[in-house]
Amino acid sequence: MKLEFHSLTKCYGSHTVLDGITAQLNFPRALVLVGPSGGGKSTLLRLVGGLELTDEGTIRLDGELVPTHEKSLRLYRSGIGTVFQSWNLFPHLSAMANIMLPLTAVHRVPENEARKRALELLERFHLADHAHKRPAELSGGQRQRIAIARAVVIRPRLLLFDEPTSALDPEMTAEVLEVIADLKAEGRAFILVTHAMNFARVVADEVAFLAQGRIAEHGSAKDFFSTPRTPEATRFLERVLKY
Amino acid sequence: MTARHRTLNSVISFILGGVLFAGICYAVLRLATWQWDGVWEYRTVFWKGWITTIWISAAALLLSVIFGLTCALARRAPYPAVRWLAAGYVELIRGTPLLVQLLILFYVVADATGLQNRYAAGVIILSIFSGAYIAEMMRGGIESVGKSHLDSARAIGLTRGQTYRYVIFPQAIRHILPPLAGQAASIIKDSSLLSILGIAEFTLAAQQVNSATYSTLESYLPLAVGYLALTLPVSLLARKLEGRFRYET
Repeated sequence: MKLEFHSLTKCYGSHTVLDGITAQLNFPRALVLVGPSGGGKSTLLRLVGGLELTDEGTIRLDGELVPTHEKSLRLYRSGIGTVFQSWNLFPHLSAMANIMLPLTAVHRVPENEARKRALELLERFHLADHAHKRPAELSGGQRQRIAIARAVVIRPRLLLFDEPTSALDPEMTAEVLEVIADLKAEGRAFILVTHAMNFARVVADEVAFLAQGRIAEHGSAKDFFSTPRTPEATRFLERVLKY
Repeated sequence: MTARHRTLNSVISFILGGVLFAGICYAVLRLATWQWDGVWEYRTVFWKGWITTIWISAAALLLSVIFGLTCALARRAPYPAVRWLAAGYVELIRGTPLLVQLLILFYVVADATGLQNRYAAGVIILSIFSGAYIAEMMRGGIESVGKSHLDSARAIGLTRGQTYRYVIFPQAIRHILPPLAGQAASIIKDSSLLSILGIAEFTLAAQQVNSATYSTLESYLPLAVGYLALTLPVSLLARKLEGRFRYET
């Protein structure tokens, strides 16, 4: 996949979150965004996902311009699978219904076909026994895996994970990371924002380091973790890998 | 407080309440000289009025839900003018008495627009009044749906209409139903004011019987009982719904 940013700027009120990013990121499957909190990782991901509009600049995904009008943006979003930090399942729907909704409502897949595809994923993620439970009856890890199933079921061109394990305990984190590694092995392309550095090191093809609204550096995971080029990244890695 | 104290407390309250109620009943029954014969002759007037109150209230409930929903959606419209109009309607109606609205809307607006049928006019005015309250309930219910769910809906690619249908309404309904049942009881009671427009509902029936028989208490006691017979089941339903939805959340 090829992701290009040109003078990308995003502000919330007077606060500049992304400050004129120009970069070209190539990654066969997994791009991981790392960096200090407030550095703009999540915002960049939301812009790529078409959930926010840019203030200035453009984004191209595999050469195609990310639209800026609500109608074409909705179509663009429907082809991308997004998983948020937490609480992104609909609480009034069962696990099964949550996974089926984008298929039946957005992609016009017939009910029985949608059910079949949802069940396949539930089985693959070892969740078949929980198909008829509502989110409140499930653990955090189960919920997050169902959210991933909902994002994957539409066979998206790209998956986006926004800190998918930040709200989970270590055991549940492991469950979720296993699923993400599994998706990579299957050949799915995704962008992941995470603070789980060891996982980032293992799963990433390409790493981009964001600080103060800019991509301070980017490169292969191997190079980034062994020999970071900027002092900010060096300091960041020293701090987060210390303990 | 221990369980034993609580039991003792409720027993004492029950006895005191019973004594008070018996005292009031005794005073009323003893002091009044009852003349039920005259009133009994007018029982069909009561019956017809009571039936009219039921269908007027039912029609007003249905119509006010439509008004309320329209207004609640209008308050979230992308156009500021529509939002202001809806907000103005809610504030204007909730800030003035129903009696004043009845007089103005019936004798000025309905007259000017050539709406001759006083029953239709009554139902519409009552619905305009009640719709403002229902609009606020619906707005509260819609706003109770977390922003993260709206985000998820957008991420999946749902349209605005689909988001309301699949995400917002199914979640908002649990916040809306209990107060809506309460509002239904209010509509039944408020419909009594339609008597001033000469609509032959339950209250007007009692007034007619009173002026024909001069038996005030005998005319108005059945009135209270008749309203209670309608509002009590609705209130019980409202409480039941509240309990059920609280348990589920």
